[in-house]
Amino acid sequence: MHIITKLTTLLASATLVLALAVPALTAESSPLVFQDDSGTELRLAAPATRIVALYGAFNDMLLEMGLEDRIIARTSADTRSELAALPVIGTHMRPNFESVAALRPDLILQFEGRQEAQDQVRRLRDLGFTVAVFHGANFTDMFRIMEGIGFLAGKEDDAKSCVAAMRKRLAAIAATREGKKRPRIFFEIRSPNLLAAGENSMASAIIEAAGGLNAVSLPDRVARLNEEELIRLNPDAYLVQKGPMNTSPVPPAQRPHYRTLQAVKMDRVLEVDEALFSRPAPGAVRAAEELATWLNTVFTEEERAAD
Amino acid sequence: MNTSQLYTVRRSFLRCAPSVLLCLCWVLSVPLACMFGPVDYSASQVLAALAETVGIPGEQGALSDDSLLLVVGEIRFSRTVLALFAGGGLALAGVAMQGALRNPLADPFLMGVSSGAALGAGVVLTLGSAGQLNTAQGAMLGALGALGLALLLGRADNAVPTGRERLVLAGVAVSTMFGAGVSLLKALDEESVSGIVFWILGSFQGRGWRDLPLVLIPSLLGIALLLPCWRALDLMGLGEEDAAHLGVRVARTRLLALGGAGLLTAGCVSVSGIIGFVGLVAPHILRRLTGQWHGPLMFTAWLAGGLFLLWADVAARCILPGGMELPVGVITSLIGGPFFAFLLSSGRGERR
Amino acid sequence: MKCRHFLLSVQALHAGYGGRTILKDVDIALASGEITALIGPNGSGKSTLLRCLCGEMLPLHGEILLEGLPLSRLSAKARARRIAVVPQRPEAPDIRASDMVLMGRYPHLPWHGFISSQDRRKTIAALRAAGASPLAERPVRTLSGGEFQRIMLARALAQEADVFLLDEPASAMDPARQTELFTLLAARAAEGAAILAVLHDINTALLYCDRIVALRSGQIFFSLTPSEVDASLLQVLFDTPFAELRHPCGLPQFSLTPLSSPLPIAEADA
Repeated sequence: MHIITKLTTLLASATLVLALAVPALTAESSPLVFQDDSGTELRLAAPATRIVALYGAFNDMLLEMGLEDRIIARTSADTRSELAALPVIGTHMRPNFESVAALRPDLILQFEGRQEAQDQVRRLRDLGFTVAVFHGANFTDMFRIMEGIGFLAGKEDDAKSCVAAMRKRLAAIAATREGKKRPRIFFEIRSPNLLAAGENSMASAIIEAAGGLNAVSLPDRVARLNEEELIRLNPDAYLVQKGPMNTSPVPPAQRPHYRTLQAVKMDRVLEVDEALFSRPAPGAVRAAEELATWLNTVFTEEERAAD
Repeated sequence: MNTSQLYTVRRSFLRCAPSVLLCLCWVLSVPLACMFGPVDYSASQVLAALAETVGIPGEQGALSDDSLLLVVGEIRFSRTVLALFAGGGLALAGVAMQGALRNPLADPFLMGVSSGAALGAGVVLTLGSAGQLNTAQGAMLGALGALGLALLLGRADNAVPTGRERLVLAGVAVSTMFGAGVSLLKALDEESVSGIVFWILGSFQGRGWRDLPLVLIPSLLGIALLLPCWRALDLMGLGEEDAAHLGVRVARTRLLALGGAGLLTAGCVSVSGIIGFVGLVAPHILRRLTGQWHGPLMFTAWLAGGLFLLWADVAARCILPGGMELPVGVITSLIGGPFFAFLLSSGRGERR
Repeated sequence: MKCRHFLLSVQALHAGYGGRTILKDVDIALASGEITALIGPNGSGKSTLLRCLCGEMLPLHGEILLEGLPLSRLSAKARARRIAVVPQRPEAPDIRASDMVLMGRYPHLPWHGFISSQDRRKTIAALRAAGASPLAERPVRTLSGGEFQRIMLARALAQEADVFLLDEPASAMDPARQTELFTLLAARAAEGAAILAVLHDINTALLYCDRIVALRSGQIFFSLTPSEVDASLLQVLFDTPFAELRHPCGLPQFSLTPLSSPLPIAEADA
């Protein structure tokens, strides 16, 4: 009995190992080896089962892949109902090390953002935790991250099928926008003290995926922009995100300096959810779908002809 | 006696020269500053748009571009006026604070006005417009709250009519308290950190004519409080006791000056965010040019502070490529800091 | 004897800081046309009395009356139009001497605070009267102690007050300037001013003042005319022996005793 079980496991492991082309012979003795986006080589003795994500997007990915049972904690900002019952371990930039340690996670996920977050990663690693760091601001990065997390959780197949499904949805969006003019879209992160999404941002990637063009062609993630520049750019559509970065945006139609904007005059203004548009999470696909639908309604055939 | 009169004439001319020069610069700067920005317009286009905005009918067709009137007439022109008033207010507040507290290092933010404004703005930025307040209004409430608290804590009682140190300490206490509030907000809500930080840096981006009353009304009230005590501030330089011998009501003068300075500062800060060094540097430079007397000093400092902030704002919107903005507070501190250091070192050389 | 008209007076004055009483039951009255000298040992309350009389310090008990009217009822400016103070150690601000004197015109300025040509004329006149015209363009900080005292006197003159309260106005002046100062004060007194001067030099006080008021431990020790002062009173007042001399004009003068000899020496200075 015992031998049979062991043989089965061995066989299964061998198949898995061959499939993944990981240079290891047996599952028992071979750790998972993974290089994260900070260039650090991580070794896990076994697939991670107790995962703490210090950035909400990773929980989104785990939920999307059906791995909610691996999530053992949440940050205080992560208030979705599926995770509400989990213990809170502080915030993205200031996780509470004691709470984290008490939960004995075998994998911590962090997003490479500010210096502050990176310092936290270093300190967590000093404490002996395995921390995987990812960065990305487009769909390709997002899919890569999902596959990486899937690998670390020992569920790479699930991750791959998940990614394939999302790619399919993106392709479907592209199909509905096929042959149509790409409107130039401005994405407002915050106002006043106007902050716009630059080319290297998730919002920009979503706009592209929905068949639009980011009106701001600066290479940054965010750009502190002059209003004059906005007036000069005169985008075809205007997106205002609402969320912690922009708690109470004044509707653009009520802003005196916006009155000459084509987008405002034609009422092509959409208020969007910051949580969906600002991070590389599965929700970004839904964001792209919604944006594409909206673009298809506000840019009717005759308007396109007029443009 | 004849020589004495001669001296007086020559001195009053020298004292007038900076005022006249500054007036000229001030007036010329309004159209000139409107010519700079990320969007390229010719000088004649800008002048035509300005003329149209102030109601001088120009020839038809000059305003071919629809957005010209908006960019020049509303965005640039309003920023110009706001910067002139805000900078002037800060410099004037600096003069009044330095005079009333007899401390050359006093600046408009000494009474906790900036921390109060930051807290007010921070609360609005964190909570959203829960109480139908925008950031500027929140900042104004915070600033006035801090000012009121500082004056209340530092008010002189009858036993000690000269409570100079007490007022300064009260200002420091209020500053610290409200500053701690801002830190608490940032600590509790990570997502709002960048919003608060950017607001604190100070900028005129996105401000327009509708913000003008917010800076103008407190400024006028502040000036109204400062005007009756300009001469008394001259005498305060003799020391509290000696000024009192000559008929100055020291405690009242100080309260008026600090209250007026606080109002001026609150108006500027609530619209633009916190802009450093204007209120410290402008009075010092002007004191060298126009002397100790608060009449010409206040007038020229108001002009010069406005000019300084105006051109700092022009730099803030023009330095970076692609229409990107720098916070104007960063520019003023970048220029003001080294300049102030230079002023201090050259002043020491002069004394010797 | 002419009828004395009191400009500034107080009865049963008590004053002190924070629970400590410095002046006890002081009666003093300054008459128009008289120069009163206020003498007394260090810490006897002379400066405190001066601060009470000018309204700078509020008494614990007793009301300062200016021609019968309580001083506290007057506005600060109205008070400064009647009472000019020359403090003992004024701060030296970074301004010119003439501007310092011009500040004496402050109580006369209208609400808007602008200086008229009349104010400038009176400033120049005050500078001249105090013999300080040559100092007019000098920065106050470059003046010597005596020169600064002359500027402060000129400022008091520019104030056009009729009560002068002077705290050691001549302490840094040379003998010629001291004589000039008292000549000037005597002229003001002749015009009807009431003058109180805190003096350390008893002999100057006896020569130039109409009345000598001595304070001892916060109380009036004596209030006499110069000819009534004698060595025994001064010995008790200052707790040191004095030798009485006599000036050719008939007024008493007093000398300290030299360390080496108990005998009085004629040319000793107090």
